[in-house]
Amino acid sequence: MISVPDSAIICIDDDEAVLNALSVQMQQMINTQKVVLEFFLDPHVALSSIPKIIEMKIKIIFVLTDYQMPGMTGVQFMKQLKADYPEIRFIMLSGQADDSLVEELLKDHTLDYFISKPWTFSDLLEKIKLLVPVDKLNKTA
Amino acid sequence: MNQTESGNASQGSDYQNSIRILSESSCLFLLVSEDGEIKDVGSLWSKVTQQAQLSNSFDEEFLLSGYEDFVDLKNRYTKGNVLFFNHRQTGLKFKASFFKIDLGHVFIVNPIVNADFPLKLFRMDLNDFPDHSYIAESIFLSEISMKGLNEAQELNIKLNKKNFELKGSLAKVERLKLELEEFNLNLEKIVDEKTKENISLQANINEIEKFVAIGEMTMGIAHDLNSPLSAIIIGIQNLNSSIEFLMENLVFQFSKEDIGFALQHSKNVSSRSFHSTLQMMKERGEVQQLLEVEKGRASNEAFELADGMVKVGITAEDRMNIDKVLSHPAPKILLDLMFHANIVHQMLTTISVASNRSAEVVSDLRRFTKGAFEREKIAVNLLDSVNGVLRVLSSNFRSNINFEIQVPNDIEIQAIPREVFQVWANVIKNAIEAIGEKGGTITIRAERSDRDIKVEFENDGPKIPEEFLNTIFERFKSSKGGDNFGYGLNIVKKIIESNHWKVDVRSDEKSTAFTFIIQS
Repeated sequence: MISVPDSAIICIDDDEAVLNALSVQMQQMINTQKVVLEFFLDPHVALSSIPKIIEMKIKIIFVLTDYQMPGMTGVQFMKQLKADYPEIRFIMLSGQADDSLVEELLKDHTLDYFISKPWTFSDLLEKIKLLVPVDKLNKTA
Repeated sequence: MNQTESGNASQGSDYQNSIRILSESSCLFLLVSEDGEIKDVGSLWSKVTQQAQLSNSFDEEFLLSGYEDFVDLKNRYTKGNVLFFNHRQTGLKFKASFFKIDLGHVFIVNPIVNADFPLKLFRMDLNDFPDHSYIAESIFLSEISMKGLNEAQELNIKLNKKNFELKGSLAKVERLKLELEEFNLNLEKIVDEKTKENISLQANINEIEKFVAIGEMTMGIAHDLNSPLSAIIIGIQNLNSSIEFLMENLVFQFSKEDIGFALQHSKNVSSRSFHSTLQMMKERGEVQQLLEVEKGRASNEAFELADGMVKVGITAEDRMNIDKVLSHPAPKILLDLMFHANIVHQMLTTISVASNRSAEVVSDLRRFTKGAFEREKIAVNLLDSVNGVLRVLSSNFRSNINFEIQVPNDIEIQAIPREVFQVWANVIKNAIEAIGEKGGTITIRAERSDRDIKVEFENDGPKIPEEFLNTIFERFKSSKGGDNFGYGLNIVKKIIESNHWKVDVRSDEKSTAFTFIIQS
C-alpha cells in the first residue's frame, strides 16, 4: 500500500531558477512515490545530508550536479562524495566545464554522463533512462 | 792550404761534412757549403765513381762537365788530387779531393772560406796525401758522424712527424676556426631572426593580452547568461507541457470559480517548485493521518489525497484549503488542476526572474563595455569600472571571498576603458589567488584629492615575502606558480607605466595592499 521509497536522486545547483525548472522536469520523469527527490542549492549542505539519506537505507541512484558552484566545483563535490561512496553515479550539468576535464572524468568513470546547459527535457530524459529502472519512471515520461 | 783546412779530425762528429764509404766500389760524396748546407750529391757522384774506377787521378773536365752553373770554371785550379774552385754565384771557395783507397773511392768537396771554418773531418794537407792511416781515421770518424747523422735524421723524422702532426693540428685548428666563424655568422643571423621574432612576439603578446581580457569577459558573460537561459528554456518547456495538460485534460472539467481558486492558490504558494521528498513524506503522513482520523477517509484514498495536497503545498495546518478540496466533487482532479496552476505560476516566476537577471547581466555589460573598444582615453567612472570587473570575474569567485566596495560613485578617471579593466581584473585575481582556499575579504576603496585619485585593493591574505615583493611586477615571478600570478601583474605594470600612474605595494601579516595613484 504505502511504499517507502528505497531509492533517491539528488540534484544540486546553486541557481534557484535552474533548480526550479529542473525540479519540475524531474517530477515529470520520476515516480516520486518510489524515488526520493532531494534538491540542494548548496553543495556543502548536500554533502552533509547525503549520508543521512544513506543511513535511512535509501539507495542513491545518481547525483546530478552543476559544475560551477560557490565554494566548490561539481568536480570537487563529486570527488569528495566518491571518496566515501564510490558506487554513486553522477550526471554533471554545466555551461562552462572544461571539455578536456569532462572527457577525462567520463573516461575514468568518475562521471557517468554530462549534459551541457542549456539542456532540453529529452536531453535529460535520455540520460535518466540509462540510470533509473523503468518502474521508477512515470508512465508519461 | 794548411791553414785553410784547419779542422780537427777529433772533432769529426759533425755529420755535415762527413763521407761514407758504402761499398767497395762506391763512395759517398757531399758538396757542403759554408753554412753547412748540402748543396749537391747526385750525378757528380756517379761521374766520380766511374772516373775513379778508371784511374787514380780524375779528369776535372769530366768531373765538372754539366756543373757550369755551380762551378766557376775559369778560376779553378788543381793541386795534386785536390781541385779548387769557386762557386759561380756566391764566389765561395770549394775544394774537391779525390783519392782511392782499398775500400772504395772517396770524393770530398769541402768549402774553404776562412781559417775559422770548421773543417772537422779532414786535415787536408797535400804533403800527407795520400795517407792511408789518415783515410782510415776519416772513415772511422765518418762512421761516428753517420751515427750522428742517423740520430739527427731520426730526430729530423721525429721532428718532421711532430711538425706534420703540428701542421695537422694547425689545420684542425684552422678548420675549427673556420667552423667557429661560420657558426658565429649563423649565430648572428639566428640572433637577428630571434630579435625580429621577439619584436613581433611582443606585439603578439600585446594583442593576446587584449584577447585574454576579451576571453575572460566572454567567459564571465557566458556563465552569467547560461544559467538564467537554462532556467528560461526549461521553464518554457515545463510551462508548455503544463498548459497543454491543463487545456486538454482539465480546464473543461472546472467551473470559473474552481479555476479562479486554483490560480489564486498558486499565487500564495512558494514560488519554489522544488521540495524535499523526505519532507513531503513527513507532511503527507500528517495530512493522511488528519484525513483518516478527522475526515474518516479510507487510508488508500487518504494517501492519494494527502499526496496531491502536499504536492500543491497544502499541509496539515492548512485546514481551510483541505476542506475546500474535500468539498469539491472531484478533489483529485482539482488537486491536479492546482498542481499545474502552481507549475504555471512557478515557471512564469522563474522565467521572469531569469530574464531579469539576464537583462541585468547585459545592462552591467553595456555599462562596463562602454568604450571597451575605445583606443583613446575617455572619462571612466571608477565605481562602474570596478563593478564591471567584479561582474565579469564573478564566475572565478568562491563564495568564501567577501568584497567590500568603498568607492564613491562620482569619481572619474581619464583612461582607456580596456586598460582599466585589465589593471583591476589582474589585481583582483591576484588578491583572490593570494587569499587562497581559506577565504577572506577584498576591500576596494578610493579617495580623491586635489591632485590625484587613490585607488586601493586590500586583501587579508598571507604576507608576501619581501624577496617577491620587489619583483612582483616582473613576468613569471610568482611565489605560488599560479596561472595568472606574475604574468597578470606584469600587464598591470606596463599599463601603469604607459599611463604614468603610480603603484605601491605593501604587505604585512595583517594584509596586502596595492595602491594606485592616478592623476586627476
